[in-house]
Formats: sequence, structure tokens, C-alpha cells
Amino acid sequence: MTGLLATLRLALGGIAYRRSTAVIVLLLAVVASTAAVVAPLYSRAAEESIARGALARSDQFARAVHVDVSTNAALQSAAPQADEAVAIVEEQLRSPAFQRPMVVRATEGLAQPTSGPQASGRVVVPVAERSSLCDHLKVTEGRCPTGADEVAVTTRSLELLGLRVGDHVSLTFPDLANAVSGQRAGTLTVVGSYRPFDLDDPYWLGRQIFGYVPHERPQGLGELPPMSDTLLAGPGFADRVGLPAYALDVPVDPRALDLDSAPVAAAQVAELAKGLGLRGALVTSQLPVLVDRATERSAVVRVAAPLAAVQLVLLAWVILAHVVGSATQERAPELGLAKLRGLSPGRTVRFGLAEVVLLLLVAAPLGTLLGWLVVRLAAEHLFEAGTGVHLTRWVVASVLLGVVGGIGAAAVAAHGVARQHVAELLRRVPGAAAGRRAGVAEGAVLALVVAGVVQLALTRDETPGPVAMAAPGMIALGGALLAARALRLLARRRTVRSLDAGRPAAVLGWAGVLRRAGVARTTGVLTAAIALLLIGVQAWSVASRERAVRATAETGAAVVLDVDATSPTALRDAVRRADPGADAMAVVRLPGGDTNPTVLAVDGTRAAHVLAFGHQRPDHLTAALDPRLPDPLTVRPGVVEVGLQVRSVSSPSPLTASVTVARPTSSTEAPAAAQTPAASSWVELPLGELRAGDRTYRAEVPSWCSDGCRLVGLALQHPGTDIASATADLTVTSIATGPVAQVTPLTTAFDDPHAWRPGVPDLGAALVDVTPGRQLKVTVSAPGGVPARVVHGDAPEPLPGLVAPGTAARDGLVQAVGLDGGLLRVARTSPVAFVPGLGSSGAIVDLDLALRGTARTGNGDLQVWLDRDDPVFERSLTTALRHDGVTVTGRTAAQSEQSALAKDGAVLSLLLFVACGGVALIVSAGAMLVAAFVGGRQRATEAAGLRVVGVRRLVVRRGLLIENLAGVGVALVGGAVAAVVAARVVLPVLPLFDQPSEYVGVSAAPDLPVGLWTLLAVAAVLATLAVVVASGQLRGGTVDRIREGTR
Amino acid sequence: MSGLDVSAHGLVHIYRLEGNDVVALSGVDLDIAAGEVVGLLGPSGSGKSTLLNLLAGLLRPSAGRLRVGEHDLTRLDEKGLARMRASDVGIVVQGAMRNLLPYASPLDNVRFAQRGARAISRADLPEPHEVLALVGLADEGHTHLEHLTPGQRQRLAVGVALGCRPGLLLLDEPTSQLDHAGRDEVLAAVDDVNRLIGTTVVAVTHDPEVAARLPRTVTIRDGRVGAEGRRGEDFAVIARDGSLALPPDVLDTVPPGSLLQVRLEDDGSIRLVPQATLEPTAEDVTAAADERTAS
Repeated sequence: MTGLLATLRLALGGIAYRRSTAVIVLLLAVVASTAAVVAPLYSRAAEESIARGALARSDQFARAVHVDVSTNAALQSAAPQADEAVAIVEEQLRSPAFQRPMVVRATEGLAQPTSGPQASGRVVVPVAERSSLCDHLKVTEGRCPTGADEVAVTTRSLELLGLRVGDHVSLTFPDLANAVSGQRAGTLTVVGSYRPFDLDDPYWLGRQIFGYVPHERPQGLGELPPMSDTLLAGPGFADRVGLPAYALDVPVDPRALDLDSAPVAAAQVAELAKGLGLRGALVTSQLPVLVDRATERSAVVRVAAPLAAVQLVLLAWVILAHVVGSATQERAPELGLAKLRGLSPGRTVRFGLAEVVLLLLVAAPLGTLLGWLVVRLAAEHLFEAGTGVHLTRWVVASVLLGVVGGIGAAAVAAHGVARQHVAELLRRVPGAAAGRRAGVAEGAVLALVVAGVVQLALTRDETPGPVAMAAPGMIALGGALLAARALRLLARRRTVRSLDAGRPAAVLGWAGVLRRAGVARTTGVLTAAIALLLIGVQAWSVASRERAVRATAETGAAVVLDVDATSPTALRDAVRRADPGADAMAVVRLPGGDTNPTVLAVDGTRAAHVLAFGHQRPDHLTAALDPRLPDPLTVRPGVVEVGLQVRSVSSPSPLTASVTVARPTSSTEAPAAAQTPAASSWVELPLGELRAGDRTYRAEVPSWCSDGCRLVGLALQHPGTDIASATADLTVTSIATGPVAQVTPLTTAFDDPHAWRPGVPDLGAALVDVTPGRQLKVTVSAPGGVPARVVHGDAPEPLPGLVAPGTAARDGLVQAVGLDGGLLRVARTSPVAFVPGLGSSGAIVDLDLALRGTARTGNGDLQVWLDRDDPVFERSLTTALRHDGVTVTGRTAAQSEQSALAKDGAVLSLLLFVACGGVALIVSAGAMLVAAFVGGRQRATEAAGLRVVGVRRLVVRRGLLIENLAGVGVALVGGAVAAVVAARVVLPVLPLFDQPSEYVGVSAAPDLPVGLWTLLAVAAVLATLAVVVASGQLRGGTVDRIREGTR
Repeated sequence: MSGLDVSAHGLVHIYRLEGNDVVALSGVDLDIAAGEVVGLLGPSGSGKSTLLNLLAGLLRPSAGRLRVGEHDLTRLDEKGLARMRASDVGIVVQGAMRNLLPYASPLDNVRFAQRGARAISRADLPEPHEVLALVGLADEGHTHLEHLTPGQRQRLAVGVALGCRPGLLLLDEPTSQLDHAGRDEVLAAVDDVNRLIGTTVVAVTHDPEVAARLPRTVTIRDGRVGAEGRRGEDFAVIARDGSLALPPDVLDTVPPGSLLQVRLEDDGSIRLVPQATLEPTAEDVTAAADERTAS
């Protein structure tokens, strides 16, 4: 005991004597312990977070446990009664995640209201009895039902049934237990009313309560009566009406599930299903499947996080060994004394280790606490709420392993020193370091690194994530070994050259590098740390970029606003006015269905700027959406004259011709019908009845065309009462417009095959044939009421569009639902990998062209897409839009998706990866400081000696600067090279997401600016450190240093 | 433990260096009796420190025989040498602080020095404060080393070497860097140690005043015993092989290669006569006449 105390006293004295070194060793040991704790803690917490997130976001009905006992099953003797079933469930579902089972007994009755809108009619009335109803039902009038014949009814159902609170309602229920009568009558008293509410409360479990349909419901060839919301009955109702069937709902609280308890809970559900299944009850729950999926999602982090942390732990150990080696070298004279006093080699090593062991033992609990705090902090900010950070036995084992590893590393280092001869240990100035030759181990490590890198490069698409996670460490290690060797080679060459050139400062500096093996070791450690940091930062930066790209592409743009506007045209114009800078774009989303794809009609002039195609932006986007078309023809107030040569006309009633114009949105004299979004924006200007012969037809152009009305085309039609079709064969010779006496011909370009086309057949299939030439030949066949149109080519059909590869097409054309609800045909003019916001199925067309080709609008969801998530810009835009009659009703931002992606297991692993690099650099900088402290006395002594023999201070200073900066320079170059290699081979295979996007591609291109800035920052820090160390050594180099007997 | 005797016969030590070997000792014959105090003198590089390191078991002899007490140093392995240092040989290297743990108190330094002896279960170890009392530092057991005078530090170094109460105390320049008072303190302490516990003392020194106060000095010159001194008077030493190393001042007169005639005089003294100063004998004259006749 006395010996132990004496050893402890000596160790404490030594620590106090070398307090600077001790502090750094302690810090490094704390970091190593922290890393050892963080690895399992973070990994487990991240897994739990992912699992919690997956379970919390699952549908509450899906994850709940449902026990259904049908009428048939309930009538069998084996089936448990509801009370017994509750007891069984409570006994078997013991996990705290399972909440109290709720008994639900529901049926449907038929009411025949005597008043109200359905008086004398029939209304289907669902009635349900739920346990603990009054704890959850908020009654707005009256009270909660407590008797078997009492019900609460929604206010709207009261109206439907013509009831008030206090009334009685008679219902006819099916009596399944009585096969003879089949029906049972019952009268219920309405004791309270309530309003429909949000069913998010787990109590309701998303069960259908509000099925209110106030009118007949079609079913097959017949109709079903209207239906009220569910009447919530008091306890005993089911027994009163003889309802044998029941269901049990067991809500699951995802917050009470963690990695350990979730599989247990799933197993309990399986066991319950097995037991109750034998008695005729059906147990359903998606919980086991959800738990399995959550576990699968955790797999990435389960493997990758420890790998990243293990790199850090190993690096910390290596650095610890290096530091302990340096510190032990500083104690060489003390170890020499021990040997001089006859201590055996083993006892000498133990004496040398005492201080380090003491520091490690102090560091272990400190590191554990720090690691726990770090992960706790991460859990609070990064992980799902409620994620626990538990110090399990694995964590303790990891810490112990870290301590043992640290002591082992220290023992190896101390043994190396203790093995030296006493005389060598007692020397005042240690001898020159023997140049290390690359041993077999070094070569083997490098060969492994090269093999790993080649394998990664060759099997990019097959390499699993964990290998990619481990690869940076391997590459950093290889870089470290090569950098250490390169430094020695460089130093040897520079020393010789400096000697030849007679540069004493350079000789001193480079020879100093050569003499001390520690410099090369520190350089190696620094290289590995810099490489790890650069790779980590690159991985994080690239992952962040790709998350943003993916989130924006999957959302469609940075921000998507749902809006209300009078028409797509009004929306388009309002957006253009509100944002002249083209950062926002009007979009009409035309929903698809089972057979039709969804189509986005976008403001083509802004699409290239706003649509988020990620890395797969198509070429010539604007040109693809809006190809070169004939210029629109415009008519103004006055007349429009059309020259027609009618060769033949046959119609059961007068066939009239008209000029179709599009009414401008700015017009205030528009027909009243045009105020509704679905109203036609095309107006027919009648030319009169079509007659055989060559004549000019004239129509008056209304004054609301003062800003110019686009000429859509010509139309021929006869009244809709005619069954027979009209036919006509004619030639359009001219179209002119202007004031009555000053009409001027329009540039009709009849000879251009793209200038005029037949209109899209409307319902009734009017047929039009157009033949271009000097004059336009037209043949028409149109049933009554259906206009036969000749449309100007500025409104193309089919519309040119960008079509995603997964879109169903026929003869190269995509058929969708247009703005008017009719057929919209889209021709693929340019391939795209996907449609932003839609995915691998869908199409994009130009909104202007879509509007030109349609008479009515009304179909589609109006949206405004923003190219950046800028609150100031968005506020200004929405304000301007509001003034223009466009109101925002909803908002979707890519940032939300990005935040969700940021909780992926892969991202959580990457974060640890970056932390690994950062900590590695801090630790290696610490190692550099220790090496400086330890070697500082020796170097200061040498500097003093040089000064004594007349070497100028400037020369000594330069020499020390070269010696300290050489390693840093080589480490920076080595680290950068290793990082470049790693970026080339690792980034392409690094898992950036748990599940890759189905259509948004990923780019592994490194983020060069971030890399350069990181390297510059690291270089500045390390160079400053080196200069400070060199200055300290120079200051310490006084004559006092070389006084006899001082150490 | 009482003093240990030392015996060196034809002791050779060669430093093996890259390219060339350096012969540090080239056949030293030296016997030191138990309890004797011997000073090793000689110019730098003469081999006296090498001899001290050989006696301490820090170096291995290249040839010859070396014995310290019962320890045959030519046969002991590293473990045996360590045991010898732990219990029988105390060493004070040059520079007081190089013998001490700078952060430990004098008492702890002595305790540290006793670890080796304790490890081999030496039963008769003195208490650390007794050791300090022996070197006159009884009151300084807990004093920080920085607060001790240079002489006190050197005495503490001696005390630490005596921690295991060795039979042989080896001192390398024990008085260098000390002023007169400090030197006297150290010499007095060494004298006390020798007188009170009979420890054999071998001290390397450059200081002639120190040498003059030692009862016996051995001058090492060119790797051999060049001379011995007794109470201030120097003597040449005839080696076991009969060789005689002449003093440096004599060598100035008769440089290496000179022929000497060794004559035993009637009064018992021995006369060395260089060849040039010899008077011809009758045999010489007869021989010269015979040569002339023959020619």
C-alpha cells in the first residue's frame, strides 16, 4: 500500500512537473474516450431516431392493433366475449406502447325522418358504441350519452334527420342473431350534439365517423339513401340492440417504442394474433411490418456510424501512442535513472507508464461524460423527439476497450524507450534518430490501401456503403505513411543541397527534420487528420447539395404556392406583373388519373429559370416548350372581313360562319359569363350565313378589342337541333381587319402548312380538312350545334411538350386532360429524365400555348412556383398577387423535404464522419503541440549551443521555422492528395440517402470551393501553430539551458 | 553492507563504431581493497569514465577480467548486472540533477532509488531519513530540490546512490560545478560514508585538489593505468605483464622508441639509463676490437 501511495505521489509529481504535456495527453485521452463512447451511443441513438421517426410518421390506424370478432364468430361458443377479449389483450400486449384497448361496437340503422330535408325519405344512420366515449367527446349542446338508449349526433346530421337535442329517433337495425325476423327496432334519445372534429386524437384511431352524405348515393344501377354521421351511443347500446360483433382497438404510442421494445411489442402482437385467431377473432396490425421496415432503415447507420467512429477511435489511439511515445522519450533520463538503480525492464516500463495510466484513468470518466453530453446534444437537435441516450454495457465495454487500448499504446511506446541502454537514456542530448526504413508492415498497409482503392474504383455501383465509409480512413492512412516517407526523402535531399549551397539556416532546419523521427510521425498523423477532415467536409457538402437538389426537384421548385385566381390567364399575368425578374412562374397542374398522366402547364418564358431539374436539365428548354410558330393575328375594333369562295354548301338549316377571337383578360366589357373560370374566353364574331359563291363576309369587332383580340380562327356551325350534318367546300381568300373604311389584310400565310390547321374535334366530331396554298381550301362536315373550326397555327395541336420517360404514349402522343377538361394531346419535342414535382411520369407544356388552344378553362390546380426560398421575396410577391386578386391557399417548400431527408440514417452517419475529421485535426494539432513541448527543451538546448558558438539568431530562427513548417507543408500536400483520391473513389459510392430517389440523379462532383477554403483554413491554423512553436523554441534557447546538470 | 573489493586484470574495452573501433581501455590492471577510497584521474578521453561504467555494469568488457566483490562482471547478464546495481553498487553520474527525479522530494528520491533493492527483497535497507542523515541532509527530507544548494543537491545525489547501502560507490566528477564550500561538503560526506559504513569508493575527478585529499589515486592514461598516487605522492605502476608506464614528464625526455637500460643498483634502487648516455663496458670495447680485426 505504501509502495502504491509512493508510486501515486511520484506520478502526480511528474504530472505537475510536466503539466503542459500532461494537459495535452489528458485532452487526447479524453477525446479518445469520447470517441469510444460516441461510437456506440451515437450509433444506437441514431438507429433509435430513425426507427422512432418511421414509426411516428406511420399511420396510427396501421400501427394500432385491431381485434375484430364478427357476428358469426361471436355467435360461436369459442369466441371470447368483449370483456374477456379486453382482458386477454391487456395480458398479452404488455409493452407500455400499447394503450388501453377500446371496445367499438358499430352497426347501421335506417331512419325515416318525419321532418327536415329527408322527411318521408330514408336515411342510413351508423351508430357506434365506444368505450370511454365521454372522456373524448366534446359535446356542443346537451351532454354526452351515458345510457344504452342515448346518442350524440353531429349538428349537420341533426339537420339531415330533422332532429333537435332531446328528440327521439326510431331506427331499424339488422338483427343478425335472429334469422327469422332479421330486423329489430329501437328508439334512441338524442342527448347531445357535437361538431365534426379532427380525428387525429389516437382515441378515434382514424376510424370512419363522419360519413355524412346528404343526398342519394349512386351504387351500380340503383341509388342508396343519404347517410348521416355516426351517432355515438352510450354504454350498453350494443347489448340493447343485440349486436354480437365487436372490435377492439389498441392504439400504439410510438414514443414508447425504442429499438429494444419495438421488436418485443411486434412479437407480442404476433403471439396475440395466434392465440385469438384460434378462437375465431381476427387480429390485424401493421406494427410488425413497420418495425421491420424501421429496422431496415436503421441498417445504414448501424454499420456506417460505428465505422466512422472506429476510424476516430483508431486515430485517437495512434495519436495517443505517438504522444505517449514523445512524452516517454522526454522521460528517458528518468527511465535511465530507474535502470541505473537496478529496476528490471518491466518495472522500468511500469514506472514510465504510471503518469499516463493515471491520466487515462482520469480521462475515461471525463470522456464518457463528454461523449454522453455530445450525443445528448445531437439527440436534442438532430434526432427524433424522445430518442434516448443510454449508457449500456456495450458503451462501458467500449470505454474500457478505449482505456486498455490507450494503455496498450502507451506500453508499446514506453517499452520502446525503456529498451534503450542506460547510457543512451542518460545522455544529455539524445542521438540522431535512425532513418526508418519502410518495413514489411508499412508496405503491407499501403498494398491494402491500394487494393481497396482499386476495388472501390472498379465496382462503383456494387460497393456497399460500409466499405465506402471505411475507405477514407484507409486512404488517409496510406497518405500518412507516404507523407512521412516523403518528408524524410525531402529533408535528406534538401540537407545535401543546402550544404552544397552554403545555406546554414536551411541546413539546420532540414537536418533537424532528419534527426527526429518524431517529426515524420507527427507529419503522418497530421496528414491523416487533414485527409479525414477534407474528405468529411466534402462528403457532407456534397450530401447537403444533393439533398437540396433532390428535395427541390421532387417538390418541383424551391417553393410551390397553391393559389386561387379567376383564371390561368389572370394568374399568369398577375405573376408576371408581380415579379418582373422571372423568379416566380404561374403553373396549372392538370391532374391525371389511372389512364392519363398529370401535366404541368407552365409559363414557358420562366420555366428554364424556375423548374428544378437537378443535374438533368434538358437543353433548349424554352425552345422545346415554345417552338417557332406563326405570329398571332390580331383584330381591333372596327370590322373583320373574310373573303370566301364557297363552292358548295349543304345544310339542313342555315350554316353560319364566324370569326373566333380570344377575349383579352383586361377587357371590362366582356360578357357576364366570362367572369367564371369555366366560361369560354373565345367569342364568335358572326360573319353571316354561308352561301355559295365568291363574296366577302364582314363581322363587327367589338370595342373591348381595343387592346387587340387574338384571332383564333374561323368557325362554321348550324343549330344544335339538327341531327343531320352540314357540309361545305370553300376557299378562304383573304382576311382583313380595321376600321370600316380602312381595312387592311392580315398576314395569313395560307401557303404555310403550319399556319392553319383543323380544330380539335369537339364532342359530335365535326370534321374539317385544310389544304394550304395561295388560298386556303377548306372542307367541312359538322353535325348540328358543333362548330367546325379552322384554327390559326399560333395555337398548335398537339402541344409541344417535355415528356418524362415513364409516361404512357400512343403514336408518340400523350393524351391528358386539358385546361377545359377535354382532350389535351402532347407531342414530345424533347426528352427529360423526369418532370419536376411529378417524377418519371408526366409532361410539361407551355401555358400560353395551352391557353391559345382552348376556349374554356376550369380544369387544373393553380399554383405559383418560386425558384428560391426567400421569405422577403415571397412576402413581396404574395402581397402583390393579393392586390391582383390572387390569394395563396397553401404552401409546399423544398426545405421541408430537405429537412426530412436530413434525418436519414446516411446523413446521420455522414455527420459523424465530418465530426471524425474535425476531431482528428484537433487531436493531431494537440499531438503536434506535445511533440513541440517534448522536443522543445532539446531543441532549445541545441539552439542555445548554436548561439554560444556564434551562429546568428536569425539563422537559428530560420532553421527552427523550416524544421517546424516542413512537416506542416508536407502534411497539407499529402492530406490534400489523399482527399482528392478519396473524393474520386469514395464520393460516388458514398450512401447519401437511405433510399435513393426514383428519378432524381445524384452527382458526386466534389465541392471544390469548400475544399479549398477548408484547406486554406487548416493551413493557416497549422502554420500559425508551427510559427508559435518555433518562436518558443528560439526564446528558450538561452545559455542557461546548457548549464551543467539541468534537465 | 561493508565495502566490496574490486579486481581488474587486463581489462580491455573497445567502442564499436561504424568504420573504426576505438580502444578505450587496453589492459587495465587494478585492484582495490574493500573499504578503500580511490580517485581515478587522467586527461579527457583517457578511459577513466569507461572504467567507471564498466565497474557499474553499464558497459561490458571486451576482454580481460573484472570482478566487484563476488560479482564476475564478465559473466553476468543484463539481469545480473541490474541486480548488482540494485543492491551492491551505487552510482552517481556527472551532474547532480541527472541523478535525481526533479519533482520528487529528497526522501522520495531515496525511496525511488531503493525500489530495485526492494524488488529483490533486500532486507537490510536503511530508512530513507537515515540515508539523508548520513549525507548531512536529515532536515531536508521534504525540501523541494530547487531550494537545495548545489552542494546539498550533490550530497543528495550521493545519498540516493547510497539508498541501497551498496558495497561500492562510484562517483563521476562529484565536485564539478561546485564552489569550494560545496566541494568540501561533498568530500566530507563521502569520507563519512566510507568511515562509518566502510563503503568502497571510486571517484572520477579532474580536480587536483580533490585528488590530493584522496588516500589513493589511479591515473589512467591511454587506456591503461599510468600511475598511482598515495597521499599526494605519485608512483609508476608495474603491470602484471611487467610493463611500466613512465610519467609524462619522463616521456618528454625519453620519447617512445628510446632504449633504456634498467639497472638494479646495490642500494636496492633501480636505474633507468637511456642508450645515448651509457658509458661503454669492457665487453663493448672487446667486441668493437674484434670487429675491426675481422675487417
